[in-house]
Amino acid sequence: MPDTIIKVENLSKKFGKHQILKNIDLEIKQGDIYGIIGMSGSGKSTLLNLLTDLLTPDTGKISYKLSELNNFYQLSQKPEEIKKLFGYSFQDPSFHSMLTVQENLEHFATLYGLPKKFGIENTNVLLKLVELDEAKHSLGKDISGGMQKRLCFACSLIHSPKILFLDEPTSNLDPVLRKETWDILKKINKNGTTIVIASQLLTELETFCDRICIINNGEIIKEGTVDKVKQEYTSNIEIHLESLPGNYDVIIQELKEKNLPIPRTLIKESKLIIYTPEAEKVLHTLLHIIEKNKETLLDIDLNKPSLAEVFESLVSKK
Amino acid sequence: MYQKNKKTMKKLFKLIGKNFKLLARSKTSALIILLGPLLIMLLAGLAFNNTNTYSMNIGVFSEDYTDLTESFIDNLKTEQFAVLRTITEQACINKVKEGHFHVCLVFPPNLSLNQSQSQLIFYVDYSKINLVWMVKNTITSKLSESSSKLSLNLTTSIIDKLQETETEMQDKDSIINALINKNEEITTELESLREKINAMDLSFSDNDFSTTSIASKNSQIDGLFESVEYQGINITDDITDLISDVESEINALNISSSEKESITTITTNIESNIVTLRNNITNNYNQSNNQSNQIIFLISTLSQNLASLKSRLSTASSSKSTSLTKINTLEEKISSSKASLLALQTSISKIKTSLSTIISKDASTIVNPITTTIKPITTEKSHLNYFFPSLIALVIMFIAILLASSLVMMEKTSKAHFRNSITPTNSIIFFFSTYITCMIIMVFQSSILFIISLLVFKIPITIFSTNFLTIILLSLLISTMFVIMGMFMGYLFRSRETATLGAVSLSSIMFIISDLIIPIESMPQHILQFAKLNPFMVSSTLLRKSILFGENITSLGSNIFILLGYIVIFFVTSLLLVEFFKRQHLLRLQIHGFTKKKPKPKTKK
Repeated sequence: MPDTIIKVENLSKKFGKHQILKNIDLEIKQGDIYGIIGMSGSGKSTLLNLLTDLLTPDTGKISYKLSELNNFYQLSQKPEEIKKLFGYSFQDPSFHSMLTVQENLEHFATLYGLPKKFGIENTNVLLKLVELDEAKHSLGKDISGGMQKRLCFACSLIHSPKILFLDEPTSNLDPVLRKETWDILKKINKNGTTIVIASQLLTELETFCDRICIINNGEIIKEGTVDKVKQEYTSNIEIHLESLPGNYDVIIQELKEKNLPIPRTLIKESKLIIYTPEAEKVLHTLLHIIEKNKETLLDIDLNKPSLAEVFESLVSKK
Repeated sequence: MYQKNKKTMKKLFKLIGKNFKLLARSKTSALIILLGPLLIMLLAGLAFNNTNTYSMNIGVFSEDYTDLTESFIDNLKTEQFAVLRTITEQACINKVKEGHFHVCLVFPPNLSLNQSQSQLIFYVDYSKINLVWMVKNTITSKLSESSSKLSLNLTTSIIDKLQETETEMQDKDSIINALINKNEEITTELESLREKINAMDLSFSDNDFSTTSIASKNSQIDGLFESVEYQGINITDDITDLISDVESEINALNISSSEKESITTITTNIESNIVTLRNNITNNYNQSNNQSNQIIFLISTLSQNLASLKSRLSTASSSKSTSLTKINTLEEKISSSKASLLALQTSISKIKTSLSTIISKDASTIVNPITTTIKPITTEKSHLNYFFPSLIALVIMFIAILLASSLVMMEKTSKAHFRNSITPTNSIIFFFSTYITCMIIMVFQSSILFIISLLVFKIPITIFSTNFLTIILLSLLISTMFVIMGMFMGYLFRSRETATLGAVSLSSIMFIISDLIIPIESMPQHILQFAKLNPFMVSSTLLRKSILFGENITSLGSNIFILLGYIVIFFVTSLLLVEFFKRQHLLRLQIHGFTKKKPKPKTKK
């Protein structure tokens, strides 16, 4: 069982009259990739900013484990040590656009107080890690969006932090770049760095995160491993049907008349999604109805619910 | 075509509308854009909206204060000027250098109107260019006023005397006319007299000279000469007979023949002489007889002439008598004329006395009894020399404030700002890095300024200047103050635009409320006190003292402490702002992000 590295207790934050976070409690384990999920404006970034001391909480406390002795400290107690403990990669590029890639890394190495030798060593290692070795003499403003993102990671990692906070690390990136980014993040995590990610790209989080928390209206509504969250959410299986002419209302009506265990149906785009704990039975009946109604079957699929669906469902319930 | 233009215009108006919306929604920008000019106008209005009430300190000095000097001083005191006396001329000049006096006025000793033109000397600080012209105009006009008053008094005095003279002359006009008439009469009388005298004949009468008697006497003399001649001849004959008898006797004597011979020689000589005498007598007689005849002729002629003369003298005597009478009359008239002339003389004497009481007889003194000379308190030559310290302060102010605010905004709005914030680097280090960067640029800029000034404008600021170190130190301190002010502006505002606007506005306000446009002395007293504390004014004054008057750091007075005070105040305030706005800046971004992403819930109707 990995040790806890960050403890958040009863954390609240208000901006004016708006309560952004309410009584947040969570623990992040060392070496995990921890996902913070929430809608826009739900308080994900605020939580990250509070964790990185960019904002001060109204109430509650955030403690970091500084040594192997399970001693937790708040930022106000040991600001220098704790600031060296983490790196933060912001949603938007956060480096000097008029400095080269290498100069940026060296600049932040200086700000973190690294000796020159280590600074240069770390720069070279990170340039290779984020695959910016060839672009190290390019100005920050001249490199592509994906390279900028990678440069941000590198800047966040220049002082070899134990924790890396990432705010929407793959937003605005194409699928190829996203994959590259996640590959790098996995490498970083493999080196022992705990990664805390706030993102709306749930598919990615579902794939890469060890643990997640879902925030809605400033509150954590679910927290745990992805599987656990899904399981807690539902035991239903999804049947995805696509047919022509697609009279899904008729199909739903007939299914209901059969008294089958179908707690929920959803018409999404050109598909009908049926949620049921007894998938085989429902599927059988469904195929009959399709035949009876002379629907031409284009596609049919059985799925367990995705994190996105769990999230959507949880948020809409609230 | 019409439709196309209409569409274009529509787009244009839409864009203008959008611009206004954006401006209105950026509250700080809108506030600065709308209130900036109002604030500047308000300050300028408060500062300059008054009617020539110049608050000036005038230093005066004279070796000897006369009543006229005092009247000048009193005249200045009645205005808004504060007039202060100094004990020496140099002390007065020094006070101008130090900025305590705006002008030093030196009166000549024993200033009076009896002197030929009196010269008043102004000592002014030409580096305060606007003030100099204002001082020159104001004081000169004030003194011209006094001078005109004096000129008026002098002219009035002259006109009074001339009027007195006119009256006096009018009074004496009849006397002068009488004098003229009498003189004409005298002239006529004298002409008549001259004719009378010309008519005089001074001939004599022969009777008056007894020519007959003279002729008679001549005849008698003639008879006497005849008798003398006769008797002489008789006597000579007798003597000759006697000598013959003597010679006979001698021959008869018993004496030697030699002795006889000797005596005979003597007697022979005597006889010879007697014969000569007789002949002479006869000749003389004949000659006297001829002369006598001539005398008789002359006497006859004389008698005739005398008769004629007698007749003429008789006529002259008559004329003389008449002339004496006329002369007596003339004497009386001249006596009368003399009295008139004496009266006239008295009048003229009075006029002279009156005219002598005119104070000034020098035309230039009457026209302009007081002249003024304006002297600079330094030996600089061109206007640029005087303007140079203010120019340096101005350039430093604008560059430093704009540069520092831009650098701070660059840091604040940099993509790397958040990352910088989370590093274990104290914000004071960022603060100092910005400050030192600005200072390096300022030192570079100032060096260029000084080098150009030295090479192009020949302004003598070199390492050989005695107070070179003071100038450098002051430039650094002034740069520090404006850099920190600029940083303060940078930390105060949120966007680059507002920070730039704020920095430009602040610089402009300091520039406007300085003596570079209108002398601050023309401001109301309560604003003047603030204007004197204007950081730009303080800087400009310090540089002026050090560059133009060569003062060193120890003799710069209170301004150096004000400068240091500003540095400390802005330094501390900026540091507080750094800490305060660091949180505020991040918070604002969060709020901004929050409100942007999640609109406020609508209230239920």
